Amino acid sequence: MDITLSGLKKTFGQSPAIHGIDLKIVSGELLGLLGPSGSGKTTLLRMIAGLELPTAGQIFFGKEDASHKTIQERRVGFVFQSYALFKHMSVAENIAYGLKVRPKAQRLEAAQIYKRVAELLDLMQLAGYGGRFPGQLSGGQRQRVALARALAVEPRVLLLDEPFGALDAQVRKDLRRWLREIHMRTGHTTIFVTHDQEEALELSDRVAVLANGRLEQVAKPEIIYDQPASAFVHGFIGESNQIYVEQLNGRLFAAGSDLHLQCQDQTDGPHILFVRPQHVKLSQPTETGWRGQIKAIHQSFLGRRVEIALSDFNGTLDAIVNDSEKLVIGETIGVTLSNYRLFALAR
Amino acid sequence: MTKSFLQRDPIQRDRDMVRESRLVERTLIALVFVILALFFFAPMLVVFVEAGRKGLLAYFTAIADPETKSAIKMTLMVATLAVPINALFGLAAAWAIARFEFPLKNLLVTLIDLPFSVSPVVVGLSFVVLFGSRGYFAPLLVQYNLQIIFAWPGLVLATTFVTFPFVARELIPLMQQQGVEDEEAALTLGACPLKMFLTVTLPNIKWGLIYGILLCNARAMGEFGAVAVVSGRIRGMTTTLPLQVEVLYGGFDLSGAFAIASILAGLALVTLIIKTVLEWRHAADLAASQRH
Ligand SMILES: Nc1ncnc2c1ncn2[C@@H]1O[C@H](COP(=O)(O)OP(=O)(O)OP(=O)(O)O)[C@@H](O)[C@H]1O
Ligand SMILES: [Mg+2]
Repeated sequence: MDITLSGLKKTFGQSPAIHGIDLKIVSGELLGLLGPSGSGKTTLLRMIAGLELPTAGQIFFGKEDASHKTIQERRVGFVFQSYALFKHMSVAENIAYGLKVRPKAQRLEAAQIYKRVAELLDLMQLAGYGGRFPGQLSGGQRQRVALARALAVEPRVLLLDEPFGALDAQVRKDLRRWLREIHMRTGHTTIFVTHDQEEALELSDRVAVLANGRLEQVAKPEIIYDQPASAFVHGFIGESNQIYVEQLNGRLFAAGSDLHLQCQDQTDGPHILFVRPQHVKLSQPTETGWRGQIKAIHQSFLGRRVEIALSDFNGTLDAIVNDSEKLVIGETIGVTLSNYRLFALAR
Repeated sequence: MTKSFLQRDPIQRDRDMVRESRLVERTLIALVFVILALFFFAPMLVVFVEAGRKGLLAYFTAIADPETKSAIKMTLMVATLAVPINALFGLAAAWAIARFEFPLKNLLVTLIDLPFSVSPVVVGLSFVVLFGSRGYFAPLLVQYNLQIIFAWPGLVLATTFVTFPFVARELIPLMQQQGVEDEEAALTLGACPLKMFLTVTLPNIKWGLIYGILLCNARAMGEFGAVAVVSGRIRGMTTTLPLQVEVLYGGFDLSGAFAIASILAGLALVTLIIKTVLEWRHAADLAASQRH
C-alpha cells in the first residue's frame, strides 16, 4: 500500500515538532527514517498510525484519505521502542491479541487464529516459545514477539520506532539481517525509525533524513552518502571534515589563500566544504597544492587514520590512508581532495 | 600515642565504621519492636482479652444483640456502597490525571488529597450544614422527601468523602509509571477502547487497584469522626460498628464494647495480612505506588 504524506504539520502547544512534510512511500518499500534526537521521527510515525492528530495536512493510504480515520480503522502495525508487550499474556496470546479483539463478524475462527499464531512463531524463529511470558524472554526475543504481534493483523503499513534501540550490538546486527529477510518475504510497506545511520543505510530501500521537523533529503542510501543534499545531511551521515571557505568570483579562498578548487555553484559568499576522510589523499608537497604537517597517526584494525594540520590556513583534516604508505609524524606532505562538496552558508 | 581516626589502617577504619553503624542499626531495630509491642500489639491483645473476659457465651450474646446486628448491617451497607463508588471515582480520577493534560490538573491532584488533610469532624459538620434539616439544600430535600442527615445516605456520603483518596492515590503513580504504550499498542491492534480497558489497562493495574480498595474498605468500615456527626447515633438505626463501640462504652457496657471492638480489630488484622501477601507477591506492580 502506498503511503502519501501531504503538507503534514504538528505543533505541540506553541512549539512546532513537524513543519509541513511531503513524502510518498511506495508500496512494499522499506523506508528508514533517520534523524537526531528530537527531530520529530516518533511524532511523524505516530501521526501515520493515528496516535497523534496532525495540526495540518493529510495522510493517504493508497488513494484513501486516512487523516480522519481512527487508529483501529487504519490497521497499521506499530512496534514500540519498549516493545509494549502485554505482560500478563503469554507470547501466543500477545500475538493473537489483534485477531481476537476484532468484532465477531470479522473474527477468524479459533483454529485459524491458532494456525496463524503458529505460522508467525515459526517465521520469527520463536517456535516453542508460545507458552512463555514476556518476562521470560530476552530483549531480542521480545522484539520479535512485538513484530509478530504487529504482523498478525496483516497491517497495511508497518511502523517500527527504533526497533533495535535497546539491544546490544550483536543482537542488533542479527535482527537487522533478519528484519530485511522478513520484509522480503512479507512485502509490507515499512517505515522504521532509527538514529543509527549504519542501520538505516544498510537496511533501507530509501532513507529519509529528518532534522528539526523538516525532511532534509529522501534518497537511496548510496545517494544519501555520496551526494548529500545539505550541509546537515553531510555532517550527520558518515564522517566528514569541515572547512569554512569563502567563494569570490568563482574561486574559493580560506584565510586569504586560494584553494585552487573547483566551485560547485554560482553563489559567492561563505561556504562550508565537506570532505570525507577517505577522500583526503596524501602526496609529495607541491608549490601550488595544499600542504600540511602530520600531527598524529592512529593505527587500528580499521585502517590507518592520519591527523593533518594544514599549513597555508588554519584547519585540520582527518585522512584514512593505505597501510603501505610510509609516514612520519611531523613530516610535511601534500594534500589533495579526490572528492568534496560545498554548501552555501546562510548568512 | 593514639593515632587520629584518619591515620589508622584504612581497613581497620572501615571495619570500625561498619561496626559502629551495626550497633546503631540494631538499637534502632530493637527500639522499633519495643514501640510496636507497646503501642500496637498490646492494645490489640487487650481488645481480644477484654472481649473474651466473660466467656464465649457472653461474647456471642453481645454480638447477637439486635443493636449490634443493626450496626454490623449498617457498616456493611455503607462499605458496600462507598467502596465501589470510590473505586470508580478513583479509577476515573487516576485515568484523567495519568493520561491527559488539562488546565488546573495540579489543583485536582491537590484536591484529591483534601479528605486526608481535613479533620473528619469538619467533613461531617459541613455535610450537616449542606443537607441537614436547616441546611442549604433542605427545601429541595423536603420537596423530594429525602433524608440524608441522620440517615444512611448521610453515612454513605461522609464515608465516601473521607475514603476517596485511597484508590486514586494508589493508581495515579502506578498508571503514570506504566505509561500509555501498552494501551496504544492495543488500539493499533484494533481493540476498541472498552476492550483495551478490560484486556490491557485493568490487568496492568489490577494489584494496585485491589490494594487501594482494600485500604479504602478498611477505612470505610472503621471511620468514626465524620460518620459520628452525620449519623446522629440513633441506636439500632444509624450506628455503625465504631459508633456502636462508643455508644456501649459510654453506657458502661464494657464487654459489649470490646466484643464489637474485636470485630473491628479482626478486620484490621485480616486487612494487614492480605496487604502483606499482596506486597509480597506483587512487589513489582505495587512498587510505583509504595508510600504506605
Ligand atoms: N506529547 C508531546 N508534547 C509536547 N511536545 C512533544 C510531545 N511529543 C513530542 N514533543 C516534542 O516534539 C519534538 C519531536 O519529538 P519526537 O519524539 O518526535 O522526536 P524523535 O525524533 O522521536 O526523538 P528521539 O530520537 O529522541 O526519540 C521534540 O522537541 C519533543 O519535545
Ligand atoms: Mg522517538
